[in-house]
Amino acid sequence: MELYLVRHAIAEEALPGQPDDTRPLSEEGVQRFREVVKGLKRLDIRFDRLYHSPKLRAVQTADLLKPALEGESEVTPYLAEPPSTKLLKTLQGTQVALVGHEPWMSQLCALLTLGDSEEAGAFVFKKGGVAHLEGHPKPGGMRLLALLTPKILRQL
Amino acid sequence: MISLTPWLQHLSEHLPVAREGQDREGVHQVRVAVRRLRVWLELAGMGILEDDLAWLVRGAGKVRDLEVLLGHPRLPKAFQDWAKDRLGEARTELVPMLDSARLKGLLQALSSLPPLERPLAEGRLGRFVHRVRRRAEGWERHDDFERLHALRRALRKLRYAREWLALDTEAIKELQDALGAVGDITFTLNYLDAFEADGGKATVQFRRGLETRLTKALGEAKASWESQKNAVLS
Repeated sequence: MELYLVRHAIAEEALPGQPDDTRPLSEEGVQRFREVVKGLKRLDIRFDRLYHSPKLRAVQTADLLKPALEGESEVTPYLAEPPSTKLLKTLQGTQVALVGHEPWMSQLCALLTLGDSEEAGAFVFKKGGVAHLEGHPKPGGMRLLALLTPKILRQL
Repeated sequence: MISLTPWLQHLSEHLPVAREGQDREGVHQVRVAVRRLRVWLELAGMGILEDDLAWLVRGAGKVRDLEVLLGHPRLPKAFQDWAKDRLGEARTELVPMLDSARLKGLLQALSSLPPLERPLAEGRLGRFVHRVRRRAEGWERHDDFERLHALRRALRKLRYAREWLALDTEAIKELQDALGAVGDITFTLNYLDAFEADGGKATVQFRRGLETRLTKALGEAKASWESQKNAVLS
């Protein structure tokens, strides 16, 4: 499996009393992430499965990513919590994108490549950043092929 | 602003009823709510969550179709028993879906969506009309059941889109009733084919009765389309 871990794009700050789940992407976040998607498509990256967190900013990021999807998308609450085997067991497909949040994306990257989510500090995910992994989606079962910042992807 | 909250609440209220399985309205109302939410997403221009709603409506649809079939007043006993077995299987598949993390995530995601701006939704209404026009052209050209059902689905989406915008839907409803009668008989015949493919046997009279009703319903559907199409496509 080739796995693409995507951190959601830049979101608005929460208004007083606004639940975190309902924070939308900012206009800047939408514009910049559209460029990220163009960069992914220039690299000829396509997904046959896309999983995303139910939080609004991840839903909107996944929606922007849909032009690169040639299969089904699926919302999962397991991407709105620390990485778990429940999430890994959910995954189907061969070119799979996951859209989620920090610190869980870094933890997931560490879990899959190093076998230990505690090593998350080794990976820096900018908003709209993408990690490209390959292997079996189990602890220590994948290797990191690329950690792409949004800036690099926008300039492709 | 158009909030999806009323139909999301409707869905949430009927999910436990659907899971329990005692009241046929449970699954029916889940399907009704999901279909309206899909149209809301289309009016909002969102492609995401559509697959999740389609997944749920497929699971509910299998159960609902069999429940409708079993509501047929003169179903032969052997056909009825066969349909009850299929219904049991469909229910067995539905319950894990209703208990799944995917559904939990879907409800959470839907509840976080902001209301839709009315001008944005109004701007997308033309796509629904255009879809009906295309499907109708296909039906008029080929005159087969598959295209008639495609037109029926497009009409349903147009009706729900207009309902979200609080616009009149009387002409569409009338047309839906006429096309729906064809749909109901067709799907009974499809189930009858599946029953017979499984080795079941129904009387020739029963099949002929359905086919006669289908011919009549089809004539009425065509007449209804001719009388309502200008109102629907305007």
